Amino acid sequence: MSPAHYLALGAVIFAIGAFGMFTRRNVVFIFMSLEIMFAGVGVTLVAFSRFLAPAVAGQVFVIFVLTVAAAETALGLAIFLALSRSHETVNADEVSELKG
Amino acid sequence: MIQYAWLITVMPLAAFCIILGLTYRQKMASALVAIFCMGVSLALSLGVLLAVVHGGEAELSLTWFTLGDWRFEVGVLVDPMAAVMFVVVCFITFFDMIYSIGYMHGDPGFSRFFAFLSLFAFSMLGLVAANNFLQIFIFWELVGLCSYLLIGFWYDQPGVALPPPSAGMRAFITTRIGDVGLLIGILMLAAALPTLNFREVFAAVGAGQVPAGLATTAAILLFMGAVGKSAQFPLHTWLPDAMEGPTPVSALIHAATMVAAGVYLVARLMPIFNAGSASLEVVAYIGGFTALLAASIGIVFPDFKRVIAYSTISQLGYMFMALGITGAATAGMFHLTTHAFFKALLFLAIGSVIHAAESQHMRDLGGLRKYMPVTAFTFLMGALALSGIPPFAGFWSKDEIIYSAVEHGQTGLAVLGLVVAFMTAFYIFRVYFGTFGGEIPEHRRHHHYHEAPPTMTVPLIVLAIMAIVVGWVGTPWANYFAAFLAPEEHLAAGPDSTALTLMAISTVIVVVAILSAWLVYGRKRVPDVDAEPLARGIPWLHKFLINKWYIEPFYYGVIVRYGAVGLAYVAAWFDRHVIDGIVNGIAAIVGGVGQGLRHVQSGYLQFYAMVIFAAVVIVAVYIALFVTV
Repeated sequence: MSPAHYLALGAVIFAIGAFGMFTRRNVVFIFMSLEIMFAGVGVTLVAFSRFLAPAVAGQVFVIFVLTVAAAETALGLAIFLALSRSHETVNADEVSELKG
Repeated sequence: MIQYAWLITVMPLAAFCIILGLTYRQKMASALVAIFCMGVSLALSLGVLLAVVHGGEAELSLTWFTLGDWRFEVGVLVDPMAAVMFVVVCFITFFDMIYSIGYMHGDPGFSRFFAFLSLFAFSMLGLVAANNFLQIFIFWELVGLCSYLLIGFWYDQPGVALPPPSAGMRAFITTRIGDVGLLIGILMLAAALPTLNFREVFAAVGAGQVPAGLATTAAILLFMGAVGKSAQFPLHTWLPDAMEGPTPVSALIHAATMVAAGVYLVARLMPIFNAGSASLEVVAYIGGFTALLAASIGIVFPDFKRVIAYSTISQLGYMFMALGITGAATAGMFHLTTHAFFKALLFLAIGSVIHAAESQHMRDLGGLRKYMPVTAFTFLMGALALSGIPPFAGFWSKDEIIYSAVEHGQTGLAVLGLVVAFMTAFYIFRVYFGTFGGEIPEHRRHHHYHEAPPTMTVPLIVLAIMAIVVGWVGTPWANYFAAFLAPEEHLAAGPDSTALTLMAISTVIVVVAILSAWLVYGRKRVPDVDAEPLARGIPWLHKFLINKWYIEPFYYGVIVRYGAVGLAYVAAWFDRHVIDGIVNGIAAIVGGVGQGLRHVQSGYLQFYAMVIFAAVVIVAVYIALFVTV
């Protein structure tokens, strides 16, 4: 298998996540799409690690990425909670007070 | 002695500083400081005159600053012309200051008055001393400033210093118009020649380095400055209005010195006028016309102080006529000298009358001879001098002018001179009889009249003596004045038959004029304007003259209203639409751009995310394609 396949997979997963981030209205789904994007990046990193042996930096980096992703998700959900409490909505389109 | 000539100019400046700095509260001290400094200047100027008579001549100069190839200097040009002017200015200022002690007594601005008089003396003497164009221009403007300050001295009186166009403003702005010409003339010369020094410029002109056209234009422009400052037509309107100021100011500035600055300027710059082709004619004709214009108004005007002001304008016209006709300075300067004395005398005398009668209008004056004998007598001396009765001073100088007109073939101007001489004698004796002759008017019987105090009468007497004597240095039999000023001209042995005939004719004309004045005004008092025989006899002429030939309504109604105000509207339109348009336009553009860009801030989270994503994509593509690692 050539690295191109893996990189393509990573790219596709990333693209799916990006598409979801731009299109979903519900903030929770935006976060989910964000996680998908992380996954895509992870695949890309591992792919490079596999094909640039004996380097394991990619795999190590993926561990870090996942950790940071988890922390960031926690933070994001906290913001989401605050948002839903103050605006009583989970629709990203309705939170546009910084408009103009 | 000559090397101290600069002190003449500087002493009054010291007085100015001392008065403003130290003695402002002590009125008499201020006066004494001013008089002392002036006295020193007077003594010095007499010493310098003596030195120059014995053949001394010098140019003292100090480099002020240099700019590239240009050297700007401050200097004193001590030559016969300057020496004479120094004495004239110092002498009259000195006695004017003594007079002011009495006249300005009790005035709250007493110290300020002497400070300004000293400042004026400094400015005028600096002008006289100037040896280069820059210096003369600076002091020219300074003199104008002092005139403004002194005319508007009683600044809380309306019409004097406050708008609508106050007398001070009118004087300043009208002379300013002339000053534009002066400045442009100077700049033209500066553009053509590498120097501003008088002697160097004259040398260049003499060597033919200045083309005739340039010389003519420059000369006429320089003359414009003189027209403004010396109140010649068409810039003559400010001088009668300047009579709003205190009489010592009128005597000093608007009779003897400042207005003579224009004459002095032309006299100084004669080589340039001679190099031009029509410049001298312009000077002579404007002078002649102005003389006629002013004299005609003086015949009917009811405000006697203003009549004397018109007389000044008229006599200045004579001086310019002389300068223009002869192309030399002697005759004009001679008349300037004699005029300075007797005109100052006339003003101070009428000031004494105003001081006692608190009025200067013909309806309030009359019968004052027995109450103010000294004033009346000195005024009479001045009147005889002005009219040109031999052996008084005015006779010699005026006659020299008329004679030179005949000699140079300008018979028209000579006749004009004689006509104006008739009018001059007439109007001044109109004033004399109207003030001192006849009986006191009904409504003034209760008024207490008293002669002026010695501080005022002594200067009058001194000036009266000068008005008789000063002409004797320029008689046709022994014209020391001309020889002094222009030694290269050969001194005539004595008057020829033309000269003698002219002297006789002019004397006869003047005597007839005085008799006519006596017939009209001397026997029975003419109570007011409408009782004037001219008003009754030729009413349209009287109306025309008393309205000053309707020149001022023309200026304000046409030139100011359509010209200046029209220009103001255009300028305002330009300012509002173009300038503000540009400024507002820029603001609008900025606003518009902002309006357009604000849509970037949509407030939508995903829009922002998309923008970031797009940016990253662009950078990634760029790196992929164009960056080689």
